[in-house]
Amino acid sequence: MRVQDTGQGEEPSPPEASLQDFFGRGETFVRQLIAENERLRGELHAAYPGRDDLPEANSASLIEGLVVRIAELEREAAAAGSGPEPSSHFVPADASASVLAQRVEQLEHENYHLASMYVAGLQFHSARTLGEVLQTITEILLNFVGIGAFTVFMLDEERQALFPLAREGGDIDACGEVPVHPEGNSQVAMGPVAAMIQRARPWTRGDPAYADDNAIMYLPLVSNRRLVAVLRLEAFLAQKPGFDDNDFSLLSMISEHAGIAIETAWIRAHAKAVALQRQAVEHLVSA
Amino acid sequence: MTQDSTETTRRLHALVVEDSPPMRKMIVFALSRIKGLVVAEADDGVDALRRLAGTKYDLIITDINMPILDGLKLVKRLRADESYMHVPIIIITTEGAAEDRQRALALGANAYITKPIQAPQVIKLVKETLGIVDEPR
Repeated sequence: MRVQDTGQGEEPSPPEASLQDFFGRGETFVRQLIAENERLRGELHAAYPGRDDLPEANSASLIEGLVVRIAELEREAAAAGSGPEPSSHFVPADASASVLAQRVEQLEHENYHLASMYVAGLQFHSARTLGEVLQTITEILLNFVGIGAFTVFMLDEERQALFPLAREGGDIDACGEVPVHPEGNSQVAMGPVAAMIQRARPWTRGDPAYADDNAIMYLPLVSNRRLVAVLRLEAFLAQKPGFDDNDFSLLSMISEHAGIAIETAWIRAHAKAVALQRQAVEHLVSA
Repeated sequence: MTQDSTETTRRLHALVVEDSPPMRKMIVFALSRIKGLVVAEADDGVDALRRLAGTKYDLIITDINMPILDGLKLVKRLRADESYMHVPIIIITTEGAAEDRQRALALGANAYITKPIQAPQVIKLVKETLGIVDEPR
């Protein structure tokens, strides 16, 4: 993949060579992401054959999206860094270098953000126990988003109550259970949680913050329309002024992937160990 | 030391000490953007000391809050060690209070960055610290 093809077999100029190298490394990284994603999807489907709530085994849409994004970035970089033939316009060298440096920095931001999304997703999908899922939630919120205080509430479906399971930046004993009334019941004790259950899908940018107290927001953790837990985000780290665009993408991803990870860990904890058997596998495939 | 990033006479080696696997991956990813820099990883302060005994590193990047041997204790140990007395140390931590920063710098850390990190900021600081000069564009 090239930023700009000189078409004459010439040696690229230093900025072009730098960009080519930049995107070459980006392409390699994306290929690694796709391969890892394929592997994980395959593992999920092998572990839970017949489940219809897993991400599609075929990652064509993901690949397509990434390829489109790479093409967009290349076009932007080409427009900022190369543009028309140097002889056709007069741009002071300093100004041109400055624009290029800014663009490269912007691309580094973008690249880092994509990598952080990938790493966060990978961590959730490789978590095998509820403890590992909680650890991953903590590490992503603290290190990637900059949330210094939060509580993880799990849903007790039988008792229809959210109970505090883990807390960062505060005393968990200070958190009580939160009753949740099922759909159809007119007694709605907790508006935001009832709204989350009713909405029954992961949080995306533009959705309400659900907080009716002094929390920053309540983030639903959802697996296939099933609310399994709620994250109460209580305070940013002192140095973090607020959310930025990348944080919303991460929150959206946590809302979906942490929900799936919790449900998967729950199923795994209650699953009976059964050896893989050809007949049984073929039966499942044919079914 | 000034070194052209494309013409390395000797590759520079950095050690990232961080107990959180996703954060460690992200720091390593950011550093992978720097040409000629070889990056190794350690899970905590003790793991770092083990690795530092075997290889000569040009830069150490460490978290503060880690089990067994935390980042501040690691800085203290390294500043008392002749081999690492002058090797640059960058702290990357969630601890944003001014007194934490002052304490780390007083112990001998060269720079202090708070999480969440911005990749360009880290790349720039590491290049400056190691004297890596970009090619003129």
